[in-house]
Amino acid sequence: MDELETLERFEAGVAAADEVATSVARERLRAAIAAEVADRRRTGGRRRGAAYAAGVAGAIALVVALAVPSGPGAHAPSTGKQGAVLELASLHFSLPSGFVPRDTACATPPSASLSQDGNQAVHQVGANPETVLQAMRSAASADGGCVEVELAAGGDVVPAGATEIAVGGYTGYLSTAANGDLTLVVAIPATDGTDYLVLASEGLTQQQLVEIAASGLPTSGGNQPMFAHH
Amino acid sequence: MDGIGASGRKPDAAVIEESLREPDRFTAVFERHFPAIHRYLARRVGSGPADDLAADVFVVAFERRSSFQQTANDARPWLYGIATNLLRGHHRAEQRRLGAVALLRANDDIAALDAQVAELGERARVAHALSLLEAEQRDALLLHVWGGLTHSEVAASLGIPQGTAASRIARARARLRDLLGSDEAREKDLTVLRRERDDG
Repeated sequence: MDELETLERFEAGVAAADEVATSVARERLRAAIAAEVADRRRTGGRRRGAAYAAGVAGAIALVVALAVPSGPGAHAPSTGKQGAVLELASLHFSLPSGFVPRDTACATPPSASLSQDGNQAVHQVGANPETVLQAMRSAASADGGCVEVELAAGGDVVPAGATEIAVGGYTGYLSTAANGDLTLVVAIPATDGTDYLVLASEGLTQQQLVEIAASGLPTSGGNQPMFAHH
Repeated sequence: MDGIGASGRKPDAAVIEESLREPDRFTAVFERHFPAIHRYLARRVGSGPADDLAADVFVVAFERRSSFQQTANDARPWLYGIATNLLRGHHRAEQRRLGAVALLRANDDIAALDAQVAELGERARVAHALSLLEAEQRDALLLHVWGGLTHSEVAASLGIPQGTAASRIARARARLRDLLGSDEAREKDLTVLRRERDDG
């Protein structure tokens, strides 16, 4: 006798799933689905609260791009000279000399991609997308160096394989794209979790990028919640 | 990825991908595969525990759907893999079930006199043989036979190389053949003894 045939006949009183069992299982799945949907809504609301607390009227995330003139020395590490100041929510970032704010995106968003999904802008950073910003995204490009700064709430925005570095008193995660573009994600304590300051750049050095990020963060370091979420 | 397959429905992978944006889409995966997953679990641990376990499989699958390998259109190996992992927590229950069915052997002498009871006797022999298999071999064999998975699907389900899956299945079959064969030999001996007894 073939052992597989014998095995296939083996039922041992097995009954197919009845309607009650199927219905109960279906409801359990639907409950899990509903919980996730509710969590997404809650997260969206949390982001809105953070934005209001930060004084950003009508927007949850703000993206500002800065441009720097091309030419020798344009992308050299900061020499101490300060350029313009970039405001992002309540944060003020000191920029290297020669940088000026723009209101359009960098030519090629470094190691990040943008897509539109209905009214939501989805900003994908590194290998972990799903940081949904429910607001208009404005950005800028420049002839030469360029940096984009944004504030993201929740989600897995730290690029896979990023290197952990210190950014002032905060923890940052730096990743380098194949073309040398840098992305820096800085974890910022929030009252109910962690927000992320995301800087994506073209043609900047690591030192420049870290200096920009550190200049805008409170010197109290990464222990105190920066934003109140409601 | 989101094309319609030969069956006229979207592949599992496309549905799961859609469910990342629209979670409710995952119910389609449930409707497609719940009966088979439940049946597989029921064969292993009984209908009662299978009700809960099968429900667990789909909740876990939903929560982990972002890890589903989109290159695999068919979600069955993935779902059976989750089921197998959940079964590990019910190993004792499965052994108890197999042991209980195997105890029907005590009625073998009577079973020979009644076809219905004889069927129970076969169940007892199979249950006993299954209970003696190593857990890893039993998982691979039963995914193949009861789950209807190919060797490569068993490998994907268990997260092991295809060669390892094939090896486990082959060893399990050989062991099962030996165990059932020895039982058959014993059954033949019993039949001869009964005939001699009846001929008086």
